[in-house]
Amino acid sequence: VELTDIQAKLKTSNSWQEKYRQIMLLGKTLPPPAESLLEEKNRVSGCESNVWLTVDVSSSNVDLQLWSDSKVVKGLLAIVLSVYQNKTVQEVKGTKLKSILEELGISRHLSDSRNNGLNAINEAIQQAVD
Amino acid sequence: VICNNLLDGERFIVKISSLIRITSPDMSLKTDFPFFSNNPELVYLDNAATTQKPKAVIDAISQYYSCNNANVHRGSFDKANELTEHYENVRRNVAKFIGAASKDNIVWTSGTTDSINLIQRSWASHNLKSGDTIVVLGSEHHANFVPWQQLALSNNLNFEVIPLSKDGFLDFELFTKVVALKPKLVAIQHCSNALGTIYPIKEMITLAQAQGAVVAVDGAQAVAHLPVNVEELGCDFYSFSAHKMYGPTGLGVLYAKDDIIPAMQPVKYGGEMVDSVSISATTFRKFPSNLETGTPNIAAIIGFDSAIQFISDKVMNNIKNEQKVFKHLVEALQSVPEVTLYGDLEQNVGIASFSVTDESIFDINTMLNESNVAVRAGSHCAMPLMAHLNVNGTIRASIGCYTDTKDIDNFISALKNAIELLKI
Repeated sequence: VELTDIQAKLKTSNSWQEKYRQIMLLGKTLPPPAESLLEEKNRVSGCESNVWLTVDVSSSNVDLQLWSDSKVVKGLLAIVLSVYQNKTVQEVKGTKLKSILEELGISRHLSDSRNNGLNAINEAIQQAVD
Repeated sequence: VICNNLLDGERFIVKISSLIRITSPDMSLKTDFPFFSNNPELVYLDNAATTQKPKAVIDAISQYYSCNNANVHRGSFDKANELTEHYENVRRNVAKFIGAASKDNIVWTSGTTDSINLIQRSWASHNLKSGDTIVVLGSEHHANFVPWQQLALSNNLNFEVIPLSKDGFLDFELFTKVVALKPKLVAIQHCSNALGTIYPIKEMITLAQAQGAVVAVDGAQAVAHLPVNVEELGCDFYSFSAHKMYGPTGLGVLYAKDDIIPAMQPVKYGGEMVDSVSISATTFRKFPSNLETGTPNIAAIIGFDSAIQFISDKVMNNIKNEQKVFKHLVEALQSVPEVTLYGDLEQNVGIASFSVTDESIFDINTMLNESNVAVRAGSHCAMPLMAHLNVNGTIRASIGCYTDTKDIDNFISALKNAIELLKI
């Protein structure tokens, strides 16, 4: 999914219901997880929902695998994926996820704990590429 | 704020207004709480976490700072002496409120967690020896679980956790069997903070004490919802927090029975808890002063007096109504096919704990939050219980004295909308 498409869809959502519906629909685009992703060692701590993450930097471009048991978080992960997937390590390092979420107008819809969860995911990605 | 001899006047007004209430029973207790007029859209169902504060409590705190601020037990002037008298009177009122023999059975703490940790350090760590056993229930709040688990690990004690049944009920037979092993300490909650279950603690205390155990009760979820009499219960310790009973945050109570007081030792040292100090030695004051050092949370204690008064005058008369509202909540939740409720819904202090088929509790909570419904989603500081129920958490809707059926209906309608929205 392209970030610009996401932006367009979220912009035209007038109610919180519609915004969440769009986010959850995005979650459906997340590729189903490999069994190996759902291992305990890949679970991101600091999220209230279960979130699993692997970051592969063995090739020139970053390869992320992400999954959650929450429909809303899955949608947010799809956004994270569209921001980072297949970018170079340098590009990932230079990306400010927070400001992208602010531009999408969804950061205010995230509770503190959910924001912290996204921060935890972002930190885990940034650490892996560092 | 008007500074005069406020207490008698205030009490008088409270009494008059409670008389008026009898003639108009439909009037919601909400009008006593400024929070609700300031947040008219919010459906507040997180009372097990903390309750709102009646105006009388807020006013008492404001009055204290505006008119009567001094330190206690230190002053050599009238203002300080009057305040000290009031402060000790609150201790007397708390003792009376829970049926304790005397104000000298009451220690001020910062909350239930602090009270339980005080039992651990002041009594248990000196009196439990290697090989002794501590028993807790599988539904304990972490505050009544981790202190005992950690003491057991460091002092080589046995730590026995009595599991609930698969659907969250106490197995009394199992409790009887475990207690027959003669534990030295049985630390149990009066009511489950995660499920709301009211345990038959009178019977449990009697059984455990007959086997020689000291019994410490975590009463955090009980005191605002049912009458508690520690003398009748016979427990050795009883802990609770002011903020869960319409009082201020940062204040708790530890009740200790006369027999056990001599075995409790000071754990914090400083001013006011000592009789005399020389370079080589210190002698300590009597209980409870020997466990209270430093300037206490005076404002909270003054505010707490009004909270106790409020509960005695209004909440205890309203228990039947509270139970009616809870029944409405349970029946409404049972009518939603996707909902699974946990624990004892009959003997319950007003907490409905549930999950929703195929949905993350956090997603449900996100949608409820958008609909101005305040509940809690998570493990409720009872992870061992959640693991036992085989869930990674529940949604907890907990009522207070002011919750009405309209709150419940708004919550249920928001819940149904959330479930619909998540079917995607």
